[in-house]
Amino acid sequence: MDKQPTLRQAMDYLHTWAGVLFSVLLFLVFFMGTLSVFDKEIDRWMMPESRLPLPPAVSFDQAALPQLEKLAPRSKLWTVQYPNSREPLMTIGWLGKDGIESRRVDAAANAVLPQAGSKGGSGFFYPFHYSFHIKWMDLGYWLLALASVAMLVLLVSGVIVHRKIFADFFTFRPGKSMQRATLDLHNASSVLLLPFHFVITLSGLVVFLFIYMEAGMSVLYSASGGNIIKESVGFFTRPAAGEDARLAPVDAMVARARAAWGGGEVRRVIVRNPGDRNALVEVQRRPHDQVVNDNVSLTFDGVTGEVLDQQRLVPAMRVQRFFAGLHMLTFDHWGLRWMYFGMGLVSSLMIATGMLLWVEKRRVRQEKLGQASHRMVNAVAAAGTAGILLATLAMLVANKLLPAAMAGRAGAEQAVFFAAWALALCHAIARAFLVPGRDGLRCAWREQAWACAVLALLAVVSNGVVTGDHLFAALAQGRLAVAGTDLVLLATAVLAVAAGRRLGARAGRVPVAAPALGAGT
Amino acid sequence: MGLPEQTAMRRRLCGAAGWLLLLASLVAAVASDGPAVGAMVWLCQLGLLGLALIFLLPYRPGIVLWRWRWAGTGSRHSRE
Repeated sequence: MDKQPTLRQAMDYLHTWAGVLFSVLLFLVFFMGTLSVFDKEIDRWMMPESRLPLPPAVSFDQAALPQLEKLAPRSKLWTVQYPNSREPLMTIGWLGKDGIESRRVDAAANAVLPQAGSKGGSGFFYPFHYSFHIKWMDLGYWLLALASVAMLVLLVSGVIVHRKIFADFFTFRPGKSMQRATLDLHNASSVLLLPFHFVITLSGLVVFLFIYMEAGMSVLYSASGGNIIKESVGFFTRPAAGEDARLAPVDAMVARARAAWGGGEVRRVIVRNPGDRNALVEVQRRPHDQVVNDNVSLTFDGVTGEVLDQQRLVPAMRVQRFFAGLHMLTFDHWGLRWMYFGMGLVSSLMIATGMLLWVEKRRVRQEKLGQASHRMVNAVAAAGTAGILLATLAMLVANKLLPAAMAGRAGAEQAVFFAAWALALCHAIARAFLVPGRDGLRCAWREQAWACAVLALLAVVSNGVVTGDHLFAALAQGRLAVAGTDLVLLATAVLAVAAGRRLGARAGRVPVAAPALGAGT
Repeated sequence: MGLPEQTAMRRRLCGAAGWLLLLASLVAAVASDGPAVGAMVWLCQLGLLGLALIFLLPYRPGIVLWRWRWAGTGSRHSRE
């Protein structure tokens, strides 16, 4: 009779196969999430017309109101996102017949900016992180939930599997065999940032509470006729009166709100039923100095300017908003923001090394049996990690090289991303099956690393040539978002060259039989 | 880890110094950024600094593995 597997063996099996199945999805989530930490800064890099200084004073009545009255006089909802240190533009929005439409406004010049022709970081990388751009039936959110739960399973099983978790704490042997060095890298990157991995994954699930718990909420709230959003967030509403009335000066309401808060910045102003006697103006505070992503808004009568309500979140909602603030870094802290960026990169490295480890362990076994499935997994791993980086860099280069006046420019940029990614997959599969031996596995990684280095340099050079904001000019003019992006691209190029050279050096060595390692050690 | 042998007293002193350093950095982070954000900053930098140390260890043996002469023991440990 077969012996029952021990807990450690069972967790090892779970960790291995959950990892193989979800690794590409998880790499996508973590990599795009890492880019999203600086999504507004990437917007500045990708949209040169938005590289404006922060306006000293912002006026709703002078900058936003004339544009909204011209573009959406009959809309039932206006929103105005105020500029801040990371996003120096004002964004006006309104409810149109096809949903929310928006335009960007230079608040200092009171002028609407031309359409960007690019989705930028906040329009492409950020939605990719939380929905994979799959909107049909919210499938993207559900895939994210599945991947997040898989990540939690991987973290717990990984800790159980790691037999000598404290003894191996400082173990990193890059000069040893590929399997040993990769395992050390995987262990080091996962153990030291374990609190981050848990918190970021769990908080990500809590952020989308209202999507994942929708079934239960519908059952509970449809019975009583209540509205969970209104109860938990507590915003004040009233129906339109159907009589015309002029909106009172909103700047005065904003000043009253700021006085009531004891200072602070405005995040957003929402006008409901503008031009109606029952118009409402909600002024939301920017939570730049607290972890809880709480708007703390004041609602005014739109015609008289009288304070009608002060919104307060219910305690359970405050907990949800605490996790949201923790996950999305809605507060100002540059040190923590850079650390989140670094930790996101290390998490991506953890996932990539996990895939490499799977391939390397099976290569030894399958080569003896004449099997080749590890080659396909290797190709998918290369395209799912290096290929995604390559596609991102290709998109940044396309952002600079595509003609500015091109119709459908934003769509064309995204098409470049997906085309480059598909090409990376085809390249990886071709190299895995056409190049024999161990070099067939390293070939795709090596060549894609070199391609990433070239594209990263090309992105920096093309930004300087096309916009004139090369690295030194951007630093001199205080455009730190642009300079920072250029510096990260240069660092990417250096690391990609180092990776390409190392993979080339390993390919040149005489193969040495990898030591037979116990599972998880 | 490759560190040379230490007496029990020196091991205790190094351990105490390490814990004191961790506590001082936590107090500094909390004093600077408040309890919630300060604790977060401290945890994050602890992990990242630890990782940096691990990745540097194989490439900078001089930082950790040193010639030591122990007062009173008269022994000398060579570079590994």
